[in-house]
Amino acid sequence: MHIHGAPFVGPAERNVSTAGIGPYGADSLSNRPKLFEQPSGVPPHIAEAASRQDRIKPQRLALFSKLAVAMAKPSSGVNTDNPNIPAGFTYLAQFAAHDITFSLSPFDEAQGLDQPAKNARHARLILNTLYGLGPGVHPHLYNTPEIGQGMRGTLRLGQMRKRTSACPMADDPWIDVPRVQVAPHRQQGCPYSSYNLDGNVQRSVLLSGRHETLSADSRNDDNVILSQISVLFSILHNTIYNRLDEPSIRAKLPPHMQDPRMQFRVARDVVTLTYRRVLFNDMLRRLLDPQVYAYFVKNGPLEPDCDSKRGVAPEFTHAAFRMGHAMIRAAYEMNDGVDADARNLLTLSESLALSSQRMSLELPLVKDWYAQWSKFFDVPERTPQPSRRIGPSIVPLLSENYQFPNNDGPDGKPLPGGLIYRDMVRGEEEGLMTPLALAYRLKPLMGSGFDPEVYVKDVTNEVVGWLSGAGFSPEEILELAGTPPLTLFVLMEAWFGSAKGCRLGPIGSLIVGEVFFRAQSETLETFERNHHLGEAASVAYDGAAPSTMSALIGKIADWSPLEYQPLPIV
Amino acid sequence: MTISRVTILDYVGFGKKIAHWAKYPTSRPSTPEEMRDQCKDLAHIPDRIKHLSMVESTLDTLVIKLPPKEMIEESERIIPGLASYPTPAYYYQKFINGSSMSNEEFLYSRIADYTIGQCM
Repeated sequence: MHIHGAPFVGPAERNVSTAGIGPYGADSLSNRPKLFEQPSGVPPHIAEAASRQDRIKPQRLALFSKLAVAMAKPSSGVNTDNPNIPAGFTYLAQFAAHDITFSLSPFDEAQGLDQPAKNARHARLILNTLYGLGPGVHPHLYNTPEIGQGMRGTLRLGQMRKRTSACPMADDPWIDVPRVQVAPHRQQGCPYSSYNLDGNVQRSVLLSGRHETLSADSRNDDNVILSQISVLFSILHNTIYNRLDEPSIRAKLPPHMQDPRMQFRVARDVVTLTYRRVLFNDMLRRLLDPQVYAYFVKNGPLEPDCDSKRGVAPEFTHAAFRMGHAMIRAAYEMNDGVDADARNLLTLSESLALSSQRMSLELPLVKDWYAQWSKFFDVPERTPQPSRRIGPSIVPLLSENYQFPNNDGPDGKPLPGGLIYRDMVRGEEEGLMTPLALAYRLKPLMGSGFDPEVYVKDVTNEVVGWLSGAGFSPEEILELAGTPPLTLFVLMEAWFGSAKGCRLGPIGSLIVGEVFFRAQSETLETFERNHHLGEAASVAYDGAAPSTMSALIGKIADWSPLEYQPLPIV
Repeated sequence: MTISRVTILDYVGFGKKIAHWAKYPTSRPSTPEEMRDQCKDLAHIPDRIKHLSMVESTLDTLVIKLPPKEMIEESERIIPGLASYPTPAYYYQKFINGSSMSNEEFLYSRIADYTIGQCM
């Protein structure tokens, strides 16, 4: 069968505009249907969101567990490579997600709360996840200026180390997140010395390493690749900041931006504008259904001005954007090999472990694991490794309970399924809108030929077929296909759509697009519609600001920042 | 360049696969290609592997799988100079991160590790 959606177009055929996404006209922001409110004319029984589940029935939990295990079955004979989305976008998307949501409740404590966790990101997609609240409030994120050099303005970086040394040496590259040394708990002595106060060498040489991350958002140290995405943007900022320090370049800025006190702000805004151009012009163009994407580009979000709804829709956080977990590979080729003895295949397990929160004694990161960006994004004459297709086939590690534990089974024992299971449970707890209710919201985007009932029925038929092939009983199929977790539906519509998992289907695209374009609409005047900033960006880049990851990485490679020396950036 | 090793991507999952092969002989792969397909996302088998030989232990015979001489020598050259031993992350899960890894999961991880371990 054919599920609605335009067929996949390969990168060579894709007409990627480098002009940046056009800020849609102001008059287009009104008189449009609302996404996360009840539309008129839709029968209540399909418009309602499922109610928040404080206690999910044990039988349904067991079914989710079985489903998670089935989704993580090794994908023998299945082509899971996604030629549309290089592997790096998985982590750029995670970085952007951290810039959209920041829960006031720790993730592991959110379960069992009376109310859904509140989002503390009141301004989104402005790189607060990188900059924090700036040098005035978060000075520890910024390099201390030399005497007489004014205010803090460049972001701190950390050094990687050789695998033969516990600590970085002078010649090691500055491309890790900044990590600092803190004295072990209750151990007396100077934290910057290998000796205790009594003169004895500390118990382990590794204890003198720099293990603790300095970050505006510790989630950006969740895995090796994400932490290096964060470093990439830090280096971009520092390079632009330093370029603006040159009088000949600064003199070309709009007059009110030439004041040295504006240097940090201008650099930050240029970087943020670039990041947003990449997100909207490159990442979302690849990720979203083309028809849905085109609608948002032309018209903006369905609900542009909803101050009362600054909390991000749980359909995004607890379902649609969980597609990122399906895009994760089991291992990543990080670089061409830094030397003859180096490994370069980093397993997902290692990537997750090498974080300050986990195997901290192995940090700073060994430079064998630095990200050579041509392995992650499509730069000319190189082929990146692909992300995994979006669908119900997920790497087995993400179903392992030791990585993502729960105690949901009888007598508090764990139910199998790891993170995949947890994704479905979280969505159910939040009470998400049903696929059919969301399909009705799609109508204005998809045109008069789109029938929500038929669309959902078509996807449901595919779900039934997949469940049947995976060994589910008729009763189980009836339960799951009748009231599917939204996460499952989003993955299935992508997998069985015409793009075959190379991007999201229409409903997933609607949810993700609405959240991103709404976040953009809140600060359009500051960035995309700010002509002075556009001029400043052209000055900073000595030409048009990049609007794809390929162009951005190419620009950084052209600048050859010293931090990378002597490792190749692409 | 060093000799490319088999890389285990999911120790628990791969350990279960090996246990399955031990218990159900007809499920065993007979070629590296077949093994790569069965073990997709569980283990990365490098291109240098052209042949596959499975040795079945019995209760009355001690089977000692000797590693290739070149691998021993390579590891003897590299390992002493490392700042820390390249310990698989599941040891951290078991012994440093509290009790998040069950004994059963640790068993399968160990099976995967000692069955496929190649001097590193």
